[in-house]
Amino acid sequence: MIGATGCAVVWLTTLGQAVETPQEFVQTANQEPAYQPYVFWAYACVCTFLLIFTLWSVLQLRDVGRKVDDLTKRFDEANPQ
Amino acid sequence: MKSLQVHFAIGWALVLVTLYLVGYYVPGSVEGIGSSYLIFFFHFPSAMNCLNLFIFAGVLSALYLVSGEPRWEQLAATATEVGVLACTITMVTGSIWAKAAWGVWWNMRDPRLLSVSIMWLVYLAYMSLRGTIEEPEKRARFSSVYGVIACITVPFVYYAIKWFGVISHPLDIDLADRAMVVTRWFGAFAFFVLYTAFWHLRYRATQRRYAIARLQEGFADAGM
Repeated sequence: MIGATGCAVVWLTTLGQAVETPQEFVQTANQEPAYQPYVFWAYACVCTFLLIFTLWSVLQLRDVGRKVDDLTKRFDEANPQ
Repeated sequence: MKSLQVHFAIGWALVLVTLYLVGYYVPGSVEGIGSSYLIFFFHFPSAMNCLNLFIFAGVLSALYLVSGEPRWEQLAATATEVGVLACTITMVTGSIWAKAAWGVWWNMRDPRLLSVSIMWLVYLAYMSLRGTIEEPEKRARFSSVYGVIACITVPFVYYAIKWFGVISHPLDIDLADRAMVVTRWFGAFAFFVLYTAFWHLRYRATQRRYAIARLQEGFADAGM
């Protein structure tokens, strides 16, 4: 049901655009090669790289933090003075 | 820890604002290269910050060699790590843009592309070198000398086009619109904040790693 409604909306939008878009704009738009996929992939790559680097660095920081706490606790227990 | 979280939040928020500016503020396409020019607003900030970070790393390495203070070497090493990330992003976005604009993924005959590839490999070698030396003082000294020498590649990349001429990569992109200029420099600032947040994070992790090494030495000295 949801899928059918979605398809209907997409078709209505496409038909609406075809009716509403002036002819000279369609011609201008058609002359340009399809650059959008390149722009999309470039931005997707940057965001993915940044996100992976953020997660990797945060996890690494948390791990070394835990290790420092653990070693400090063990060291303090072994040397009570 | 709080300052690091704030730094990251500001960095990511500024990058999201840059995305918004690219989507809704700048013109959707320009004559000649169409909408592919939009890649520039993520390509240029990474390229600029990558060169800045490598220069910082060179200056900090020189400071370590002069003063012997380990903090400078740790800052140089972490700046290099983030610089390599920025350089990788620059190369990936540049390559995608090259395919859209010139029809090829890479052109090794182009002076800018060739010099960036060399710089990237030089700094990857720095990270490998640093990872292979176990003794901390020796590692710091070797990597600092390497860091100062590696810094030579930065002006080489910057002036490559002026020295060897334009083949594919232009000297600069002509941004006629005020919105494009604003977005360009806003993006550069946003990425500067985000990359320095990464630097901040990596430096914290390095400090903790050194703390672990000191504690392990303490265990060894105490015979445990």
